[in-house]
Amino acid sequence: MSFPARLFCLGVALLCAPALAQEPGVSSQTHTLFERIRDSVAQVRVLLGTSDTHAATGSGFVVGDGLIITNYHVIAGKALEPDVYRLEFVLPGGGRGPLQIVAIDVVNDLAVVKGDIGPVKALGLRSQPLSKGDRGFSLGYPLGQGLTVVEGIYNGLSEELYYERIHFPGAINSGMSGGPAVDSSGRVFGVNVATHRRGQLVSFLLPASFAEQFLGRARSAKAPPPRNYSSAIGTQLRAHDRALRESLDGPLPTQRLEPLVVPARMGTSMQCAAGTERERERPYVINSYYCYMRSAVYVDPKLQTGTVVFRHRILLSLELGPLRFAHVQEMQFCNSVSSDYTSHRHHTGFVCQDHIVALEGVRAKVAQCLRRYKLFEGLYDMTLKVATLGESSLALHSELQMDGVSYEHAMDLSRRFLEAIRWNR
Amino acid sequence: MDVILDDPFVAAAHVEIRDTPEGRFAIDDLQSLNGMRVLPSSETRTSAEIGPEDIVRIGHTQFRIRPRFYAVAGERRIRQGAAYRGAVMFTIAAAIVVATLVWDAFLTTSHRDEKALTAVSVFTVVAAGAKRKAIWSLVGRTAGRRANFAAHGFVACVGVLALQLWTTSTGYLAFGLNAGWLETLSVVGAALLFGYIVYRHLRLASRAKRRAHATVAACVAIVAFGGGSLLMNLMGAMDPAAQSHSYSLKAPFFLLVRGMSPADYIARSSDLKRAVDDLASRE
Repeated sequence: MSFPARLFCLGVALLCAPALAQEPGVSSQTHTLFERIRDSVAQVRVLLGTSDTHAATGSGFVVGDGLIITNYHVIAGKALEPDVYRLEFVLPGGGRGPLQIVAIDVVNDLAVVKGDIGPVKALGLRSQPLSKGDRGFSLGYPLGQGLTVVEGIYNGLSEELYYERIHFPGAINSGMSGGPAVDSSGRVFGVNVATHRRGQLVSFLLPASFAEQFLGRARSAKAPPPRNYSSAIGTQLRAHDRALRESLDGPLPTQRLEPLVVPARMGTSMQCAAGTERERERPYVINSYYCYMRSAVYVDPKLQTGTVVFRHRILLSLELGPLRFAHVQEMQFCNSVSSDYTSHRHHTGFVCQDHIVALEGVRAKVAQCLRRYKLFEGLYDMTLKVATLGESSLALHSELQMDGVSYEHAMDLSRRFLEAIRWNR
Repeated sequence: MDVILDDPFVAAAHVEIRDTPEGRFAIDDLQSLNGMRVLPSSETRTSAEIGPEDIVRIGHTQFRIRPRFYAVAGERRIRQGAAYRGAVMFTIAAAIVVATLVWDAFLTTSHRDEKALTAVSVFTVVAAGAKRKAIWSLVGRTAGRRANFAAHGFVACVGVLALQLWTTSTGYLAFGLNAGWLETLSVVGAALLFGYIVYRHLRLASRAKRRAHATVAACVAIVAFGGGSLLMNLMGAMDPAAQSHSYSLKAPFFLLVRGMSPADYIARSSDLKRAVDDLASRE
């Protein structure tokens, strides 16, 4: 190799050396961070009775005074059935012991628990959010593995959820719920709360400001914590319903599906999708429009509530006569939106009424069903089904379903829903 | 005077009957093998004094003896056999039932490929009905010992048509008048009708000689039908996911119904709230 070529290669090597030297520096920073805060991340276990069998596991982090922040859904069993379950913490340093619930927030899926955890360093909470693109680290105990750290990128608040959640693309898995998401200095900017079922690396965190406010309320609470949290959960669900009602207040947005006008998406936190059912051997077509509010509150494995869902189906006959089309309508009227969550423990049976109602421009058969929550005072599930009558080849079937709402809220939205349906003639 | 009875269980000289001064009759057993009874007693007697209302039984023959002046009911014409026992009436009734099945299947099929399935389902129902009627007709016989397949078949077809007419008309009335109680009446009426069909079947069979047997069987059928419907409703009510309301749109009857305003409809929901609050307080 000639001298100029050697000089050139040396110059290139000198330029690249700092860059090459940075790669080991990045991972050592992560390692240092991990070593600094790992002892403050606990595994929270829900055990059945006096056995050591796990009914549920999650994660949490120490915030001082023996307090640990975790998700409500991790300890839901203990909150609702205190005589059946018990809580336990396990720390990386080997500490282990029982936990008691101090406070819960079902709407934000938070809980504060307390135990004799010893001199474990508390993690600090960031009151200011990160900037989009900042790196963050989520810690927890995923899927029965040991303490794990997952890197992700802060992407700001999700635009689609009803409550504020941080969108954090990172491999957060089951078991990491309740664990902290920290910045590069080890301060908590979020609490692991959920992942998107149908998306890879689409995870959500609860902003640390929520956790900070919640912790403040828990610390300043004067009354001793109750043994059974049913009453507290009912109070929080009713507050959630009031917030939901405020967000749905005002005239309902509508959309034209000629010759019909029907209620449309009610706000940005409502997700909508459309579809069509066409089969070669079926002489009619069904076009569907489905909208749901992403406001569900987890209460226990058999109950998620606090949502509003509605669906419109346009039935179009291609070659059926009026009587056969009416039969198709009857069959479709039987197929209704129904709640995925039904249990004897939480719900009474449905009581229904059905009448012919004169909507604007068309008559419709309307069926309304109501059931009440047994554990949570003043909360109901309601379904409203509408089927237009009188046309031989076109019909609208609409359904409105409201879960975990007050009676007044259900009736108010039902009336506005019916009044928003119009047939232009 | 001798009265000869065509009864192999009566002796050649079985009893002797004489007038009494009181206007009654004395009857003596002439040492027969099977004896003489004065109903309702089943005890054999060698002699008795009987009046115009007493029934005497010798062998398989029962008789009363009345004075000439005693008032009795007029003679009744012997029924030659009800018209419905004939094949013609059964054929007409069966044809109407098959026609309603075909019409119902036509209305309820909405897939192009279901025509063959429709024919199969109609044929299956007809074959099942014919099999049941054939089995039933083997159980009973008419007094004339003729096969009564046609009679049973006629009763069954008329019963099916009556049930359909009853449930359809009450269903339409309940829909048009918004009267839920009519749907309850529909179930009760259907149970009674079903019981009556069972009663007529049993009356056709000559072994059911006593009307009481047929009546008891009909009552059992009514209770079973009604109890079964009630049990299904109760089981549905116990399911917290079940929403039981009328799904029927009753075309084209709904064209006659005006309908109430949305506000009026919602105002009626207070009844729902009261009902579920009651449920919650009881559970």
